[in-house]
Amino acid sequence: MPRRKKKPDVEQGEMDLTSMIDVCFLLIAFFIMVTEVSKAEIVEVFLPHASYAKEDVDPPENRVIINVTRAGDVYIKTRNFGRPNSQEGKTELAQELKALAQMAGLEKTEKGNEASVLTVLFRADAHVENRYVQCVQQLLVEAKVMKVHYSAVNPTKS
Amino acid sequence: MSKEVDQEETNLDMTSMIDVVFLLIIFFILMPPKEMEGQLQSYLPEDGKSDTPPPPNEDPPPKFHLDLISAVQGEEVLTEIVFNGQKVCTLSSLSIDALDRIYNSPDKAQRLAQEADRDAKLLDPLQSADMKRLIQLMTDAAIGAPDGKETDVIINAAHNVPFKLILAVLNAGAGAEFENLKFASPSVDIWNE
Repeated sequence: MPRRKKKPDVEQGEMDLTSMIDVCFLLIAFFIMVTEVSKAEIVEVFLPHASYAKEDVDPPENRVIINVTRAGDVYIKTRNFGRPNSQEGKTELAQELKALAQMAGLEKTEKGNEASVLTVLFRADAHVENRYVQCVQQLLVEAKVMKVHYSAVNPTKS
Repeated sequence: MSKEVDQEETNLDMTSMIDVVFLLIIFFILMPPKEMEGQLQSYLPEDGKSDTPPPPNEDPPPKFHLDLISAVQGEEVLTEIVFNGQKVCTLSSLSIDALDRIYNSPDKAQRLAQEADRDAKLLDPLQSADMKRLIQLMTDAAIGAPDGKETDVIINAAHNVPFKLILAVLNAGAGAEFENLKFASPSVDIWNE
């Protein structure tokens, strides 16, 4: 009678995968959330290149991102204001920018004037005509916003 | 004996789930790296006036002027860059109509990449002699100025200049390490639809 093979001791060779699965799910959740959060305020535009652009390491607390597409349409978060030189776009955008500037608060400038502490990050398409950006800039001046940053792809750090 | 069998039946087979999880992780890790989005800083004029008069009995602080003057010629927009009254260069870029044709063409991605390469050669100070010259002119001007690189640089650009050229001069200003790059108040033409 052949000798019966001894059943391998499964319990001793088993791995407890619970924590690994936990970590894996945390990683996935992290990547998904980072992708979603970073895209929430961003509209797809063809950004210009600038080799001296500084990395956006520590964005100011009071910052709003304004996207300007090639056609001149202005987006804040996901809201489309249309072209800023259209009557409707101008009125709505002016109201929105004034509200954002007031919410951020005011500070005194070196010249003694009042200016909003709001910083604006422009993400304007490389091929858009300057007039649309200038229209938004003019509305920002009226809302007492002075600090503006411009997004660009830094080819030396891509 | 019957107890052992019961325990084995309640075990879940995790193999497929782990496979899926690892595939997801590999997918996220291998996603193409995003281009680094950087920033250039500038200021808007206070109260809409870039040339606020100085207090009485005080000399106006010196300012540098960077002007971008554009003219459309057929398929091209020719933009002249002038620093403190001295012409630096004339740059050519595609007109809105020519760009529209690119965006509507089937090989849009390829042609946009070609345009980006051409822009890099014209506008990137690391490749363009004109932009290097602009940085040099700005650096030289700062040496003779009382406020040095803290002197205000007023950028005055025509409304039909493509935005990439505005960024190019801001980039040159950042390359010359100027801190106060400011925009002049635009003309009223910008509000014309």
